[in-house]
Amino acid sequence: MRRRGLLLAAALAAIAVLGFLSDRVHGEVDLTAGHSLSLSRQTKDVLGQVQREVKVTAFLLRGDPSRAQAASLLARYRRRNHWIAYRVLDPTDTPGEAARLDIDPTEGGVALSSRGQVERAPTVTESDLTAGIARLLRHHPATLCIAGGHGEPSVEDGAGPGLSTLAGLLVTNGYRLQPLDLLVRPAVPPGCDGLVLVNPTAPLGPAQSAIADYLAGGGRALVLNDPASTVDLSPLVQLYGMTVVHGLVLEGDDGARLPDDPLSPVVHDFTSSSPVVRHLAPVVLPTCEAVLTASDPGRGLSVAPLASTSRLSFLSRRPRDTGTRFDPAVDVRGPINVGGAADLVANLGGHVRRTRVVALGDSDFATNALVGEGGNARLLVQALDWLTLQEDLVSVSTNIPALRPLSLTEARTRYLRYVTAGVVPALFLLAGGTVWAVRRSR
Amino acid sequence: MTRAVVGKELRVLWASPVPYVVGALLQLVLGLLYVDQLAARRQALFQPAVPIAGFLLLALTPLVCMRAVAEEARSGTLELLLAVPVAGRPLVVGKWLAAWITVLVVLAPVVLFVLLLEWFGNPDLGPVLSGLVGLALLAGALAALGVLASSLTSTQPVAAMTAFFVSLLLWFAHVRAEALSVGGVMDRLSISERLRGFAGGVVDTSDVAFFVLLAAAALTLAAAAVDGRRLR
Repeated sequence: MRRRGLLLAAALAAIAVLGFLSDRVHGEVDLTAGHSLSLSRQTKDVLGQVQREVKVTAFLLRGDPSRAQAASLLARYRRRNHWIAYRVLDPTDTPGEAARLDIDPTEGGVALSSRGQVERAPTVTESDLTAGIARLLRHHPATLCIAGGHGEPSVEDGAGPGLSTLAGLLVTNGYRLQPLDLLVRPAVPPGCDGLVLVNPTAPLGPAQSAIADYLAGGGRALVLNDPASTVDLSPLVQLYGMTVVHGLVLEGDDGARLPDDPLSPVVHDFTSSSPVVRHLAPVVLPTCEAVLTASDPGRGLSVAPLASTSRLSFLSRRPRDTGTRFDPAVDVRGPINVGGAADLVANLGGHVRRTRVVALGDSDFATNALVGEGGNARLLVQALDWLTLQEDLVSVSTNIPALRPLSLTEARTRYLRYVTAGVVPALFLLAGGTVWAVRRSR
Repeated sequence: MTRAVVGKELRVLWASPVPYVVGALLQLVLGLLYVDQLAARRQALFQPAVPIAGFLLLALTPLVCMRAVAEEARSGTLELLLAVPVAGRPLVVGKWLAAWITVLVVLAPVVLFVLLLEWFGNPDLGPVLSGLVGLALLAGALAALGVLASSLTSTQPVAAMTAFFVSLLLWFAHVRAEALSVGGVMDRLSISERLRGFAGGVVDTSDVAFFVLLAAAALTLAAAAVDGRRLR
């Protein structure tokens, strides 16, 4: 009897040990098309650094087709590191929680929090989650240097044309801001994780070389041009496969502009795969100009067009002369590309140097008067997130699973219900009845 | 010995109304809930069927297993079986295999969902495969828990209720786990969390091992319980 008890205890202990070992040493096979649920090496590296609780709260509508995939992805993060805790909430059920975490319930998104610090991301994708966790882990906030000294709007200006709202937004998103007076000291300090250059109205002079040198050394810059300025910023961005084409974009599509205002396109065509414009609400870009992107930018450089106006728009090259009329001799027919994102990777003997530039053909959208409109604020934050992230994080491949639409009409839904919940159960009952009848007849 | 037990158990089980009623109930509820999910999502996904089917198995597998040992004990045939020099293990394994096979057959029409998805859309077959593997493993583990519960009592409803509540506890083990000092362990014991990976399209060896070891532990205990009866 005692021997049996010992054998039983030994067998159960062996099973427990095997269970423990299988949890410690395990492999996985991702059977999804495109391996959309396999975590990348970068994600695994970042998760390996997490040694305190990180709470991930994803806000996705219950009917959102990506909800199940998001939950699976979050489960994989948790499986990898149990410091990651997650919840998937419907923002319409939990508006208070969404408000507390500063998530727009109509847009959804994901909030990552740890020790009182909160980071936000627009989508529950590997790139966004990993980047958010990396930002939480960063020991110091990224420093954004705000260029000044050449007539740029100020981050301290609370009036309509100022940038104080944007400054507050960036601080909320974990950035430290450092204003630079490039007129007094034309140099970008090495501590700048990113440079923000917004519509200088006076020639940059030596500051232009300083910015070019900063970028050449692996710098990151957000360059906002504006048709109102006479300063040509093309020389700064041309090295990175982008050209600012001066003029004024006029939007002819009523559905793609502010009411009766052809000078204020509302851009919603974000066909780019760049994370800068991922899941963006329409962006209002009043009085903007074009930014062309090179189709064959050269070795190590990739350039993505970010957004374009409608087919009914055009770029007026001489708006003072032609007004709102299209001049086929000089004007450019839409769609007009109004932004670009460039990524230059240089391998310097084992060390990778990465330069990133985002150029947009408008600056008004970033001002206090307009930054709260549509997706304007999010465009700026996403652009800066993409610009300033460390290179080992931003290369995380996106793992958005392909959508697989189901052609389900009312009639087909009824048919599905009829077959699955009607015919099949009936067959079981019929089989059972037949067996019963046969047994009874014997 | 095991093969003989499996054959006999299958014959007895399928001569009773249990598998037919269980099959009809499972397919009826699963069909209704899954089609609702499809209509809401408008995506050719098999994924929502996995947790629904898993939870239904939780409730219905104990009904298939409840009679495995309990009925033999109640009717006195277990004493006859134990009178011959046969160890409890092959007997228990045979009954478990019969129950598992029965549950798999009852579950099998879910393949029809895949055909319908193929007809109306373009599903990713990887998660379909992993989901089916996960459900099969879950069915095995639940059947083992059912046989264990059946081996501990001679009353079938008690066996079914016991198996259901134990399975339910394991299903929700992860809920509020973070608030407990043993939260990490509870999390790993959650069968619904284990099933989630399969539903998504990932087969993790630790999840496979979990279900296999859970079944092994339950069957070991069940064999010990049957052997204990012999000694009494």
